[in-house]
Amino acid sequence: MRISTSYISQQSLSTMLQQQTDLAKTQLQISTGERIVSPSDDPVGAVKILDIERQINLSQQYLDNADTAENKLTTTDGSLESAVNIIQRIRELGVQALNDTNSASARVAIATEISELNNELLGLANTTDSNGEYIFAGYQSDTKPFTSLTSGYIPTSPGPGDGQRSIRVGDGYSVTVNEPGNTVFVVSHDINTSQSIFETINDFVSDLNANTVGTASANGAILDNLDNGLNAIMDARTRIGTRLSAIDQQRKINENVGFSMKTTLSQVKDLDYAEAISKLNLQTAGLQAAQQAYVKVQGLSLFNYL
Amino acid sequence: MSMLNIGTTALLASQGSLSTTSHNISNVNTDGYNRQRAELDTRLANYDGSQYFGSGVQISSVSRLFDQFIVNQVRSYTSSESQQDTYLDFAKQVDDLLGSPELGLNSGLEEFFNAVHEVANDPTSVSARQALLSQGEVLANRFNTLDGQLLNFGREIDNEISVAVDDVNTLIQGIADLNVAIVANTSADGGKPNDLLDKRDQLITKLAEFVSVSTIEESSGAVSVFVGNGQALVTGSSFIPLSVIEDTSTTPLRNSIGYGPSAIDISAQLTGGRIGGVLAVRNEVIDPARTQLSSLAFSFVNTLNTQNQAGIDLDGNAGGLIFGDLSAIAATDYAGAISVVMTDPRKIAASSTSNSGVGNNENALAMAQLQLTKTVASGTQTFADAYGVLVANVATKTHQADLGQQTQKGLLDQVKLRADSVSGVNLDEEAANLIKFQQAYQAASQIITVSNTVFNALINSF
Repeated sequence: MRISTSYISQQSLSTMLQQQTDLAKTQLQISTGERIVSPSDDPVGAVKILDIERQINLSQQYLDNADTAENKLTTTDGSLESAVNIIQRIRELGVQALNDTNSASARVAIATEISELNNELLGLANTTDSNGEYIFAGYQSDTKPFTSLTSGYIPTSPGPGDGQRSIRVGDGYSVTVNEPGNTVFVVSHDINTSQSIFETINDFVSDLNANTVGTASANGAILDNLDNGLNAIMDARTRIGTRLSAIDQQRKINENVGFSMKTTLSQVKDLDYAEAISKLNLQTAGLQAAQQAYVKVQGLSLFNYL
Repeated sequence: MSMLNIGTTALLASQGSLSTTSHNISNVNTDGYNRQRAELDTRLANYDGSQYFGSGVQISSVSRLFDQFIVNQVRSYTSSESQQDTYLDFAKQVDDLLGSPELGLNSGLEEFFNAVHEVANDPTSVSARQALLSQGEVLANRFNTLDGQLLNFGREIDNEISVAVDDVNTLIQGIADLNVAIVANTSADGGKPNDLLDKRDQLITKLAEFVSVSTIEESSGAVSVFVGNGQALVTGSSFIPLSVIEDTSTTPLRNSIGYGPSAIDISAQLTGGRIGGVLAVRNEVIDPARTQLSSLAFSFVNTLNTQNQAGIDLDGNAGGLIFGDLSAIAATDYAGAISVVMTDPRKIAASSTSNSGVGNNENALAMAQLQLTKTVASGTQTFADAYGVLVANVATKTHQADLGQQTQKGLLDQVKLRADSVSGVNLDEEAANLIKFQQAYQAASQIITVSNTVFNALINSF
């Protein structure tokens, strides 16, 4: 077949341009480190990347949520631990005060200490977090749950355990992060059915001050009532402990998901450098060869010999 | 017939061949040039009563070497390649736009829902609520920007259409003018104005870059050009221009192509070339992308607003709208119209209606869960899924166009090579011809010299 002169030069020129385009693309891939520069480079892979990135992002958000949840539970647990210590101290003082050998003035002295401790306990029940939320007020976290020793639980949640906030720490897994005060500090009482622990202790203090311990009907079972309070708080701490370990498990799951997703993402998205660089070498060599061939062929003309 | 006369015909024929060769050499780089050849023929022989004596050579015609079949193929592949190329050009821009991490919706959606999670974690935190509104605005902006860019592509296409129509009209006028010149310059004995024919062919091929054409050559030498399903653009010496008309069936109004004095819309009939390319990419990529984006925006706004209205805000009131109501907006413009109307972050309804309180985060949890709920396309896709489908649709179309363009380019190159192997100038060949015709000329000169010598011998004998 005959070939026209202009075609030869045009053809080799367009070949060179094509090779330059390919080379530039490989260069872009190498400099970005990504195999897919535009979605159309690999439509299936591009959509997969969107999906994987979303899952990585979500598992990261779950990890952040787990931190928040853990934080809140640890704060609550810290307050409850102090509460346990205080109630135990009150119980010890109670045992001591109940001893019949105590004089009236000794009982007043003990009552003063118990009263101090009771106020401290009340303070713990009104603990606020960094946002100023009352951590034991359930959903009505702007309401001070116990305004005084005898006020009882102020928030109007219908029943014990209502208003437990949860935080999502995994796919389809939420963890409860608060313990409403009406579950923890309002406990059963041998005479009044159910009463705040502060009021129970306060009644006891009054009896000690009046030296009516053993005669007033309301405080015969003070130690039992204190034990009820302790048990309620211990139960809450057990629940918190269980939740903390559940959060840890979820965190591991999310970290694993995140890690394996990142591996998959890298497989889909990242460039195989070895392959890309050998491609680059090949393309560079191809371009050089095309350039040399162009110069050689362009030099050929019968007119050189006329 | 004398030797001198025969020698003269040989000289003239060689001169003609030499000048044709020179013409070929000088036009080696002329676009659209078809090489020419002086066709030699023996002159009519003289009969002296008993024998026929040859009377030399003549140039019967200067022919243009080309193959109409291949030329038609070149035009048809030019149209296809040009269509794919234009299509790819626009599709790639949409593809890059949707895939861009800075402009794409994907990360915007993720960050928005992360902010919802933060509100669920700390429903009383006004700063978390403010962050949610800000992320809502960022996301709304992304919707607006994407829609604005898609509209821009639409305007670019309008622009492309009016430029193409102008170019087409210039070309068909040129073809009609050349028709006139060619008919006038065709001699009665069949001598053809080859270079004018080249020019006309070139204009028609150029026209094929804009739109697919078919041609019919008439006996007079004029060529008629048709587009679509038989609309004539050129008939003999007259041409019927295309015009840009407004397509009122869409909002916003867009350009369409009218034909003839009454400007009938023939967009639907036009295929191939840049015009076919922009019309196709508008129908297949840009319009569907806008529609999908718009319906995603609508689902998003409605779902989020409905969820917020189902809850109680920080001040104990029923939740209102986070995003502006879209019910008064045209169905294709939701993505452009989406905006955050809530200004007070306290109005985000994090609490559920039962057992409500500032610390209640049940509605915020439900709102965060919407990220994973299939709410789009009749409950078959999540928001991110829907966006993924949009990206995939455009990416697939772009990928196909890329492959198609490469294929058409390959075919066009092949057929151009074939056309060129018939019509293109090869300098080596012309150099050889130059030598050949030079030698013939020298030999013819010798005939004159010899006839002179013979004549002198005769004269001198007296």
